[in-house]
Amino acid sequence: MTKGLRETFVGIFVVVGIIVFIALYTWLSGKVFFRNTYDASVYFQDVEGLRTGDPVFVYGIEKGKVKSMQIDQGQVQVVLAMDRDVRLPEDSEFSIRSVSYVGADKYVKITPGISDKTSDVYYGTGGSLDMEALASQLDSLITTFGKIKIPDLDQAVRRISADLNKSLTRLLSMLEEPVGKIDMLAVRLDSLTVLFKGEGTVGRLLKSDELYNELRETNLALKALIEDINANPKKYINIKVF
Amino acid sequence: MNLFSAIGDFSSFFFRSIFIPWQLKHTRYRILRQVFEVGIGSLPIILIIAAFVGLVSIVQTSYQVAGTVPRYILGMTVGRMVMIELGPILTALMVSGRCASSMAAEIGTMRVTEQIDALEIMAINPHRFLSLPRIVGTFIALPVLTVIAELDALLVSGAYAHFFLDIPFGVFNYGLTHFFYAKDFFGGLVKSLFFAIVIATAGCYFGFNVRGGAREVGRAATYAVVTASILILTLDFLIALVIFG
Repeated sequence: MTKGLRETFVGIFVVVGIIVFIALYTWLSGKVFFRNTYDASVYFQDVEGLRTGDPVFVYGIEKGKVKSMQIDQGQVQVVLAMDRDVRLPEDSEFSIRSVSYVGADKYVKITPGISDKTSDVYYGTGGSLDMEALASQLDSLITTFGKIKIPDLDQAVRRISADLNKSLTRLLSMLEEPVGKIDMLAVRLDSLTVLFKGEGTVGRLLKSDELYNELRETNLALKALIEDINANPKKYINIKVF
Repeated sequence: MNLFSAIGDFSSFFFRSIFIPWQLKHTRYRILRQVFEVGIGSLPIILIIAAFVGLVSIVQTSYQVAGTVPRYILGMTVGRMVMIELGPILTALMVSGRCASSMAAEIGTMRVTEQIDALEIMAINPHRFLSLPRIVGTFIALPVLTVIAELDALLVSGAYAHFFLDIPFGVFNYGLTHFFYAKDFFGGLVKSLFFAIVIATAGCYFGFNVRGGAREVGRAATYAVVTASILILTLDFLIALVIFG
């Protein structure tokens, strides 16, 4: 192989290497050169392991990447490189989510709002679902349940059941007397109800206006009679001796 | 020779080979020749190895996690495995097996036939003439081979997932690209630069230090490959600690 040919091959090899390098990086990073993006600044209380380069999803479609992050006055400022075709109303919701319950990969979820205005700064709602923590808690819960021995549990349930039974029996015996009184009270209340309905003699006495009127008239007549007796006692009391 | 003196001797050999006037006018062609030998010479075997790396990665990952995680996780896992570890490591080990032995044998033969002594007599620095082009040539060729190997492995694994695992290439690609971190990609390439140095230095060092005859030359080739392999894995761990730790 001549010297010139070898040089050409080496040149081709190195150029191919550079092209593959650029192509591979462009493909994997999803970066298209001269991609039209703008920066959106979002503040979160805690980014929970979010990393630069993590994707940003709008309605579940990847529309940006996390460009940079820095701590700013007790909060984390996350700069998102968003595609130009995505408009973010000022009432949009931003949250950090886990990709799955394994691994620590996160993404930013955006639910655009309905406002007509956009904003320079947005605030993350937080409340990300920490799947790892959740899984860990579930795991510890399962472990705790796993430690409980079934015979122990069975005995405990039996003891509680016996205690409950005893208590219920006592309670029922204590309630017997009051229940009897309540029954009597109910019977009396029933009879009172009958009275108030105007049934029976006393009921009719209670409910009848006619009797009332008659009694009133009788009372008045009696009153007039007594007055008349007082005024003219001789008219009524005629005592004759012999 | 104890371990520390061996490390010192090896390191000083590397510095003697690199920190000398390069005289590129004379050395340039020798470097190009080494890029050709290491890079283009190793390309077919690297393409074959990388294809099987991709196949094994996707089959193993699918076997271990399929059904428990979303399917795109396979793309993400295979991508990271290939970029961080398998691509750089297996490429370096293959180049080490192929080139470090040949360098040690070639230079060792020159040593036992007193050609290196002849170079010194002619006032030609044997390090610049023999070691420098090999180290620089490998340093240029290995990262190129690594990116080609990574592309090959990822394409083959994606194709296998598409045709045999019922995972559409779009889904595989989603996992591969949406959770891509530049650190993974560049970290793998940084590794390959260090691997290139140890492969070429080991080959040249054991070749230069041959004393005896044909038997010692063969032994030097073996030592070169073994030492390069051990150094590759040691450096892999140390670089992983620094970059990904």
